[in-house]
Amino acid sequence: MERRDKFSSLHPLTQMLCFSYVLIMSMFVMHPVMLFISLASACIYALYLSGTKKMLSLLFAMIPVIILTVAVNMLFNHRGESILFYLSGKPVTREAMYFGFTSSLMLIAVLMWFSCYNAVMTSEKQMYLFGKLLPSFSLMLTMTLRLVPDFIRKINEISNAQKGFGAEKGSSKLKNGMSILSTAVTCALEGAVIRADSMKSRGYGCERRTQYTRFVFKSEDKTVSALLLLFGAVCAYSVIKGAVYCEFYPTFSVNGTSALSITGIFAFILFCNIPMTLNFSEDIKWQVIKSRI
Amino acid sequence: MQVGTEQKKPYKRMNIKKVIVTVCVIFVLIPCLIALGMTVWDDKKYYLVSLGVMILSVLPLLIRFEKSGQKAREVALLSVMTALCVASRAAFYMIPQFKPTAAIIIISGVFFGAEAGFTVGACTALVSNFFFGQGPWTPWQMFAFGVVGFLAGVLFSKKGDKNPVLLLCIFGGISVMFIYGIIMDTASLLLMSSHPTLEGLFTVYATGLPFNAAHAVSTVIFLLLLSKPFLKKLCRIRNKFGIAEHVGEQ
Amino acid sequence: MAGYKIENLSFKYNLSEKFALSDINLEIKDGEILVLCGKSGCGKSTLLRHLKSCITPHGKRTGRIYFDGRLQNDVSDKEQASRIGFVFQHPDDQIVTDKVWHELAFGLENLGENSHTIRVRVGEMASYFGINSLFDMPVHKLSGGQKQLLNLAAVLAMRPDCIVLDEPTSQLDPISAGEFLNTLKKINDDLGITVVLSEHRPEDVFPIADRVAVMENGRIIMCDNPHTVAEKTSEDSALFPALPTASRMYRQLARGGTCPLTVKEGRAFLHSLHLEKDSAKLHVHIEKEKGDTPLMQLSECMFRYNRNDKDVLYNFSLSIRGGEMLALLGANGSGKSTALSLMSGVHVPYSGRIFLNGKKIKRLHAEEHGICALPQDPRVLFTKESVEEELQMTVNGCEDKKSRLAEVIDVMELNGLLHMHPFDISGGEQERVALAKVLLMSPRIMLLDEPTKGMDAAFKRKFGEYLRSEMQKNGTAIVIVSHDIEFCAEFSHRCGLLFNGELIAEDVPQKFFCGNHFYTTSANKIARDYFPNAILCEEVTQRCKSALNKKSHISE
Repeated sequence: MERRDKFSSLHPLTQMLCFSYVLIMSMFVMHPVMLFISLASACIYALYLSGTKKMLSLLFAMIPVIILTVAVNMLFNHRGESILFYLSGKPVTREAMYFGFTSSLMLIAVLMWFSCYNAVMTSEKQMYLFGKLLPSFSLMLTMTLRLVPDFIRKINEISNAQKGFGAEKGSSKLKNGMSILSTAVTCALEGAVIRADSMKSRGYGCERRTQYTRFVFKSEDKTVSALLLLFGAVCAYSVIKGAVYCEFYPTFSVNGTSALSITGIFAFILFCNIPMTLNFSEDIKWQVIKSRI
Repeated sequence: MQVGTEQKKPYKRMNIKKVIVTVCVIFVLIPCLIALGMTVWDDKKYYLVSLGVMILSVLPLLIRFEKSGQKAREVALLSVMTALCVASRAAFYMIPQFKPTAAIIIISGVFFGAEAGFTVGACTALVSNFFFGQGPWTPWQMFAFGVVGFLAGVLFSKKGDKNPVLLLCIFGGISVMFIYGIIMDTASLLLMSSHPTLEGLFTVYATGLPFNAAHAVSTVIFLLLLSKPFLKKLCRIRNKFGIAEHVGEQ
Repeated sequence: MAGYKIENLSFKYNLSEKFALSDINLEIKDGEILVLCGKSGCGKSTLLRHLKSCITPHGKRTGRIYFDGRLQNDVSDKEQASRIGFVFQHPDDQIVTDKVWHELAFGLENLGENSHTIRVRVGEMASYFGINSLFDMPVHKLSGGQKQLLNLAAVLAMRPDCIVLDEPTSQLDPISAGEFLNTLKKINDDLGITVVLSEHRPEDVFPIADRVAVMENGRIIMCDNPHTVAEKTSEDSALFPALPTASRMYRQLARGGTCPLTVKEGRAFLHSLHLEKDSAKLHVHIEKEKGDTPLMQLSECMFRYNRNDKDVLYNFSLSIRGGEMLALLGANGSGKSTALSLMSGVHVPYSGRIFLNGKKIKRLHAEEHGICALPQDPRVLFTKESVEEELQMTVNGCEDKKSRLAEVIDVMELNGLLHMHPFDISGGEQERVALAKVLLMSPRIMLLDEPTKGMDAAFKRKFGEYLRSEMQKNGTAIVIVSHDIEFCAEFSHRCGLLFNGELIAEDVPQKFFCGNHFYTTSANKIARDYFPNAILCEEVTQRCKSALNKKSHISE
């Protein structure tokens, strides 16, 4: 079930803006409604990106996380007024339980968004973003990424070659493994000597490096970024003004009925669903194009 | 026409002043930031603050690495070391906690110096998560592995390959157990509970103890096995680079 | 406008006594293809590295190098980086980044070009090389030939005036090597880029070269156009057996005219001799199938790497007797190396049977059953710090093997290398060390994957003779996988052609190659019209000589 994700074709900066805002907001605002919106949007997007089966299995895998989080909070937080019961002399409170559930909601929302992040932000995009700030470090990332599969293949090749050569007789598995590793490391380090020459010969170090990117900041990136910034600002304003706020201790109370808070939450809904909105509008556009043909 | 003089010491070591500055950044500036976070956000956003702290502590070191004008051979060798770390993490994927990754990071720190050790550590965490998936743990891992590599460089890089293996092993065990382990345990606690208590902290450390101990033991074993031959190979390559060193601007 | 002028260049490595280059005087003209030939270790690489100052080795140097009319030292590193391209020997090790597009852009990024310029240049390069489809690929998915083409394209993206290549085809199979050389020829014709390359298999490069410089012991002993070089090379020099087949035929027949280089020119040359067509069937000496059971027999083996993959070997059957050499030929990816891995017990077929000495074997073990395989990349066998330790380890302290060790070291010409680190010696030398290790194991069945890659022609012959004596003396069975048709034709007892994992033809070399129209030796291609049964250069010249003698008798 491979679908083309419209959001993935945008500029990495736009994507990063979306993901980092959503992640920071989810971690910052301990508000059940906001977190639920965040989680639900993440789930829908993950569903679109990786299919039902993968999304559900990911969600199931998070059940122990929920239990653990709730348990940790109930056992070690003794604040709150309504005491449920005492465990070895320490109070376990309802507020701590609520807090635990909200925390776990936050945690799975964050993890869900990260699963979307991993699907959308390819290594190329991440390296592009790093390269903006740290070009040498980004180059090192590229070189590492290039070497890892090479190294794994080399290990295989060496182990096969030594098996076929027939010199393993009488040596232990550990010794064998060590000799395979030793050869692989020598090969890799020798490669570095040549690679350094190849870099020098292609002018590495004689000028400040620029970074070539295949990403262009198109007009649609501008539009989407503007929308993201607008919704983000509205939501952030209402959060900073204290309109979207949830108190756990000493008693649990949620505020979210004023006009400002509703505006803020609504802006957050819009923000979180921009990737899916893009996908749907793209789908509709194609339906229209198809029907014309 | 005589050209080129052989460089005696191809690798720059960090001088003491630089080390002190960097240590200040890590161990002074960051607690300040944490305190700031506590007062402004009346101690509720631990995870977010700590995440910021992580990023703030990783960045200056990476920028320093950036500014030091790495030569081609340094970038080439460090990327090989990082690739070895990542591949070894992937190769031992099935056995939790039993990984030579930390051992190779320590060896890199010992041979290439503190900054490079940090870079290899941080880069390893980042790149291996390209394969295993990024998450909220990535900055923590970058920081934890980076610090291990950094300390290895600070403590051992003067003697390079002449360090006694035993000392390296002791350092490896301790650093993995008490630096990497504690940083990562703290991270998971902060992620799960936004109101960490001392009690909770101790419990998390206690439950993490067997895992960290296994990780530490595996690191010691790998250091015991790998450090000597590895450092020897690196020395050979350094000499080879020395001979192949380019003629330079005459 | 980018030629070189080298005046009285001498060079000595810091730790060595001997001059690696002595008194080199060479002019490389703008827009020509200059080929450097010579045995491995004659100083080709050292000379090539002097053409670009940032990779020149350390040592004592005297003499002057002018690039484009200016002293090389006055040309800045940046200018050299863009105007002089350098391609190294190993396709893998010189690739820096993880994606094809990024590799193409790497050099331009270093020069500080802006994104727009890079986009244009990279796009242009990919279109010119026809690698658009590979553009997004990670580099580890490319084949060796594609990697080397990528390296060339990455260098060309910087718009050099001159490219220097250090044995660029030595790690490639002949088909990829041919493609690579054609591309070189094309960019030289099209763009007028000066090309300087070194090569240990001159047969392929002579036809495209404008001039050939022959090196020996750090000196240039001859520098002329390829026809003249082929004409003047003395018959006892190491270069002679490496000359193109057509040239060798011409030299051995000594009939005057210009020296032919290609198969086409060779045919024209033979045609000019006005020979009678030889209709007589060559008496092929075929030994009757011996009664004894084969040493190893594979019957209807099937193999694939994964449950859902395609079969790599399909219905693969083969048998090999003691004292016999079987050569497996075939294109890349036809399953040759996989077949060897089945015979050495590295992989197990999912169906089919394997017999050793007539007994069915469940699981082959190389060490248990006296099998030894030489891998494609010799370096993967090296675990020790010096060549000597490497060989000693294989002998494993056996006293009675001492004489054998001395003999193998002598045959493989390893005497000068014993104290060296196995990774510090050249590719051809590494191949010889690995072969020595295989020989020292004294296996009953030897499996050799591309053993002649990186060997110069003179040594190849010596090696073939030694294998032959080995087979006679010890009854060793040898299976070799090779692209080297000439070697297989000369030394093997039987040849087999693999196609899509199946052994589709198998016969004695004479019959095998005479039956093939395309997949055959150059000698056979040249002389097919006159002597359809001759497959070796020597056979053709012998028969030419006798035919010419007969003709002169008749005319008398």
